[in-house]
Amino acid sequence: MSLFLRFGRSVRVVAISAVVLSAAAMAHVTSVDVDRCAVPSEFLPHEGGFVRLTDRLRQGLPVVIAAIGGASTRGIGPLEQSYPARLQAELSRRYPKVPIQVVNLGVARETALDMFHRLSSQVLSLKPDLVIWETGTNDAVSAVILDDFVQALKDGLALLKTTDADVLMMDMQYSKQSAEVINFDRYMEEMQNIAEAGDARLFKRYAIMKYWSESGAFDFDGPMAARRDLAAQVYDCIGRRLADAILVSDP
Amino acid sequence: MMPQAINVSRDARIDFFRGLALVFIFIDHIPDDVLNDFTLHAVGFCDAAEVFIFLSGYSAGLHYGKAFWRVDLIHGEALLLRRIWTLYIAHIFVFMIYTATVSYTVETFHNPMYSEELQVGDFLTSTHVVIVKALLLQFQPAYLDILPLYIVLLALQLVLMPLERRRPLILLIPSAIVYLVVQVWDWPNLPAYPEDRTWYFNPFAWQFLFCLGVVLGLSRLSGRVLFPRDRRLFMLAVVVVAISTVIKTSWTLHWHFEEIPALLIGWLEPISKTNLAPLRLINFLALALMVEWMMTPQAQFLKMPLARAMIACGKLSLNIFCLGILLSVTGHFALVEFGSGFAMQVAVNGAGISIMVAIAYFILWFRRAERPPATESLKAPSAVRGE
Repeated sequence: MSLFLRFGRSVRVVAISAVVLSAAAMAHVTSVDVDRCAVPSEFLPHEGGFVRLTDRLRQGLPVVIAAIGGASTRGIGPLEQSYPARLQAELSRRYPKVPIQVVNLGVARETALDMFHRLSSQVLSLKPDLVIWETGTNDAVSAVILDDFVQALKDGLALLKTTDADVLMMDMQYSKQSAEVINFDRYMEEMQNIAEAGDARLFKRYAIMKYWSESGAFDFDGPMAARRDLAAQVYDCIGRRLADAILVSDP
Repeated sequence: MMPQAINVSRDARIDFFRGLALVFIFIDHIPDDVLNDFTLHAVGFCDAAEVFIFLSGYSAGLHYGKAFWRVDLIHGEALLLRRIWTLYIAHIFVFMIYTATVSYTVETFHNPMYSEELQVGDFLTSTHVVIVKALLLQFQPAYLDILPLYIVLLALQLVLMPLERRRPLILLIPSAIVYLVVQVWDWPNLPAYPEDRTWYFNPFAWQFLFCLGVVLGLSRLSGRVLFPRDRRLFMLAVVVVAISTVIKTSWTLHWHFEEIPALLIGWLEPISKTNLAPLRLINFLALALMVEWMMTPQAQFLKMPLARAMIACGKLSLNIFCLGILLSVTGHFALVEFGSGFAMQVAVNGAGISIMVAIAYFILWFRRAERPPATESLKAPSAVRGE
């Protein structure tokens, strides 16, 4: 992990969560009470559009979800604390009989274009039923040319459309201080537009985390010591809200 | 011979819409501001940037054209240079504000949840490079991208103005060709920092809108009519604006009410702001034409207190623009720190706009007070103030 962080971009480590993690293994992960990170329904998509995935879940067929993204997809600390693992745990809780695998394809500091280049080699080869594409942060931070960002998203969605997979895009993480320094607005607006134009759903992580921050559910800028635990708790909540978003038409 | 410049009184509409654009820019620069959905970009493909750049071009044509005609070439060039210098100083001032904000919030980057993705590191570890790049107009973080564009576009007029004042329309041809080249090849653009980056507002594209403004300003000065008032043209503009408004409004509404479809979005996206996509340009020109036709400079509406407040802001566009950026940063900070509930939103937006208007009135008052009353009329044409 530390090696991975230190070398960042140069070492292209692809973290892949191995097999279906048993419920017992998950027990030690910090769990938060459900109400703490509940969000009003307007933050989640109104209609799912995850036809393939929900069909398979209902029929009890094995499900593969690929989560491609940056540092916040990879997570900090053990992989089972990342949001893809937490999503897997949550889906398994709701569909205990269905074999569900969420593959973590998070690599720190990647732009949308970097991720686009990984789509065909790493995502399509998994033959996923759902692709979660978390992106935009690094593009906004390093001020990637906006039109290039848009083009990468467009190309990526077009490529994913050639498969049967459902697609869910996910935007940036929120914290008060990062919001003060980095202008995510333009990138977020484009993500919305491109997701809509490419007929993909968008998981509004930024808005959801902002809601948590303002409602007092979480303090993302709190004392230093609490921050590692904080990450685990936030990823857990993200995983559960993702499950809500995916199953929105299938409560 | 130069054409005889006629005396043009200040067109209140220009100041009004420039002021309004500045208020919109202030609002648009606050992320997650509720009022974002009530500015031009919510209902049009274009936004306040087009209005600001076009009207800046227009008043540059009017103002410096006057200097070029009334006095002489050297004097006109000197005035232009002085203005460019002022803009540059303003840019550096805004950069200082940015630097202060970033340095202050460096704390965030010790948070493991964010540290790996938020590499503003560049700014903090190689400050020496970044500052030089900012001085060279190559480092353009958010908020710092409009002034560099304005500076370059005005600098371009150092060359174009002496030519434009004779044959304004002919100069629009190369300008349009460069614009079209950018549309087709997505090239050229000026380099920015860090490497591989280019300007957010591509000057090669935006120069067309600015030049259009300059030429129209110049033609007003010389009393030449460039566009005949054709009713069919007006109707076309109305249709374009109506269609654009319906489409873009549906997108804006879609983000709040998913049941409302975002019309034609799959066909129209992406619409490049960097390269001033034709859709944006056409939408803006149609809007400008429509407004120009429907609203005379003597319109009663412009005498209302709120309109006069906007006019005051528009008259002092550079001061109020910089102030607006300062207020956006502060306002955003307040919303983040103290919550972005409805009351806070109203307070931040209300306070920001009030401060902009108050400062505009204050500067105007101060300028009037500063100017010796009687001697003014005796002075040489160098008293062409007002920009």
